[in-house]
Amino acid sequence: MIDIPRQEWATALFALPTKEVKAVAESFASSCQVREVTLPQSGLGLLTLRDGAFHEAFHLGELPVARAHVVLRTQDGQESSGGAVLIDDRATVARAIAILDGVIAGRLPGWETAAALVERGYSARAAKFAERKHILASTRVDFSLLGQMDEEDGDE
Amino acid sequence: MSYVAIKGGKAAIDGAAAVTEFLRGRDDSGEPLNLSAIECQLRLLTSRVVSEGGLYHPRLASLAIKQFQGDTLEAAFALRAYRSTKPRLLATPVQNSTNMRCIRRISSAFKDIPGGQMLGPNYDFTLRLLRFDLADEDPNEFRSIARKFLGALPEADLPDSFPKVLDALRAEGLLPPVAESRNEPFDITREPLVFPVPRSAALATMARAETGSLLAMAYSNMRGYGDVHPTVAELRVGYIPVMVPHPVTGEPMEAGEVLVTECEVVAMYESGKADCLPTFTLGYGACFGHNEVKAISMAILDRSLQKGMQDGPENPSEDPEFVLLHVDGVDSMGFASHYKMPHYVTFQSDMDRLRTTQGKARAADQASQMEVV
Amino acid sequence: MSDIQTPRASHGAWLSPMQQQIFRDLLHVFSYPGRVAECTADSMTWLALLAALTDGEVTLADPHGLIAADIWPKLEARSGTPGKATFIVADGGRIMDFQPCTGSLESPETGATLLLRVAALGEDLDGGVPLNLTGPGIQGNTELFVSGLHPSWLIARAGLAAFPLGIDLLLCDERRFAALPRTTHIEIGEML
Repeated sequence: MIDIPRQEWATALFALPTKEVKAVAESFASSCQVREVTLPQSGLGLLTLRDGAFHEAFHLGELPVARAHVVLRTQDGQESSGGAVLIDDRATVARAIAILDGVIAGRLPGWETAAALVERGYSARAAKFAERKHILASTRVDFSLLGQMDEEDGDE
Repeated sequence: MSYVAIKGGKAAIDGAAAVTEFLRGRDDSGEPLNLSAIECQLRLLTSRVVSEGGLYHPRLASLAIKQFQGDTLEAAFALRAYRSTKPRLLATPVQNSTNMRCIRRISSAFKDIPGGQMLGPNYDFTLRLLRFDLADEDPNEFRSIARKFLGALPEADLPDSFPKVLDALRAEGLLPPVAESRNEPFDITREPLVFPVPRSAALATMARAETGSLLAMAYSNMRGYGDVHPTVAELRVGYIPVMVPHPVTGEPMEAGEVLVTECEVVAMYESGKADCLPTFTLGYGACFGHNEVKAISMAILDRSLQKGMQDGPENPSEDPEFVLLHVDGVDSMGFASHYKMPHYVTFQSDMDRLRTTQGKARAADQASQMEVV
Repeated sequence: MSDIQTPRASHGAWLSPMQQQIFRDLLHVFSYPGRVAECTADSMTWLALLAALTDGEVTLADPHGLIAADIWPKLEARSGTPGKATFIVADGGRIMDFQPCTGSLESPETGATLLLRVAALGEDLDGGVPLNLTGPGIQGNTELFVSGLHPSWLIARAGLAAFPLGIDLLLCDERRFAALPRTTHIEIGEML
């Protein structure tokens, strides 16, 4: 079982050392046939953002983007599609993650290894999120207007 | 402006590159700058370069800072040059910054905002006194900073994202309605600015503008050449998850996240059009990285440009052409720098013309003196 | 390079080094109209050229249905009509039955590039129709022999040409290709 939704597999995997992710993907690639639907590519993506005042769309700038879309076929004919889009400039990493995405989505033999990797990446990400919450929690501010409250009260 | 081809100087040009490299290498510490140190310890510098370069690539921004020895304009230029060599693979769907994973969120309009205020990293409440202890920092001490900070805190129970302050004001009917425009946003990387331009072109141009230029224009408005009088409804800094269609399912997937600073200002109210009630006016600023002065300046200019577009500009900061064509760092530094290049023939011709004119003036002078005599 | 970085050899035409080589050869054949370049990619010549030329920014028309469905995503080009597309791939043996874009005076570069599949092509070819070429990039005149090219393409090309407007042709046989840019004047000779 994997509880993490597919939309977060790629970022979870990307939170791990890429060497490790590539090594696992490679082991799957050697045991089944990998066909490219589109070519693994790296380039740029234009980031479109909704402005906070009038909700108009505009372009904030560009991002490096790597993407891949593959079809995996096991020796006994089982097929599964995998894909990934990353904010990164290594097409090889996108391809490795696309392979793992396909392996887990299609529950191809050995998918549990890939799923365990996703779980680990997810925890690594969670640690990063926790750091940010620490930043917020330690600077939460409660300004009070002078005179409205007990002078001693204030920020504590 | 005109150019002449010159030749020669190859040895000197090669020498100049070697000299520039020499000045970097003569650092007595013997330690080359490490990109991760630039990215983390000089994070605000890196922020500036990613936003002015218009490419969210903190690692390459750090490299550019190292390579150009701290010159932000040159570093941004290098990022622009890099991006011009890459194919455009996609434009993301419209991202919503309400999903931002904040590290800072404040309002100067209300003390109690839904979700609460969190100061996050800032220098707003610190004295600008030099910390001399940093001059000779103990590496062990430095390494323990992060550990100590994270260790000292209990588990924080906070939501993943926060509502926008403006949404609350809008619900109360104090703000103008949201734009219904379904137009494709203007792509400044492909289309030249031909005025009038849509607001999306102005926002995109300012988002990659040079911080100092934006600040100067916005400051002129604040000081008196304008009348925006803003209140910061919300200033937030954090990571926006970038959602793109999954190549297989087409469902949104997270491709990564981007550090963004965002600011919404509320300004003087305007009597409503036709039979609408008067409402506050608004300005919006955003940029890659953590750069609050830039986001605030942009928000003020967004507001002043809206006025200029609607009623015609009365001040420089309200004139879209004046603002948008003069805030880009790569454009303006390029123009200023090109004056250093040889203009020998142009200047020779300037001198010839001056001498001819002086000669004519002298001749005319002598002629008039003779007449007097 | 590890296995994961090297899609299998059958993808030669899709690999960057091959695409760079083909692009270089395209520059060469467009500079010297009538000269023939070898295509060493392991796929049909016209497809290898398309692989080197197209990306998500261009439109591509395939009026004769030469491109297999699973190839389209790899080319990344948006599908367009023959009247508007930047690139058109067609069977040169068939009669020309559409009117490609010739560009505008402000933007003549938007004139279409047509990749035509022909039976055979060579600077010296038995059974081919000689095309006598003159114009920029050709010292004096040169001959290119083609078989399996319907004359309607060359007639239409001449009819559409009003320099700088016009269309550029790339003739492709199994292993070779040659360019006939809009600046080249073509006289169709007698078959040998």
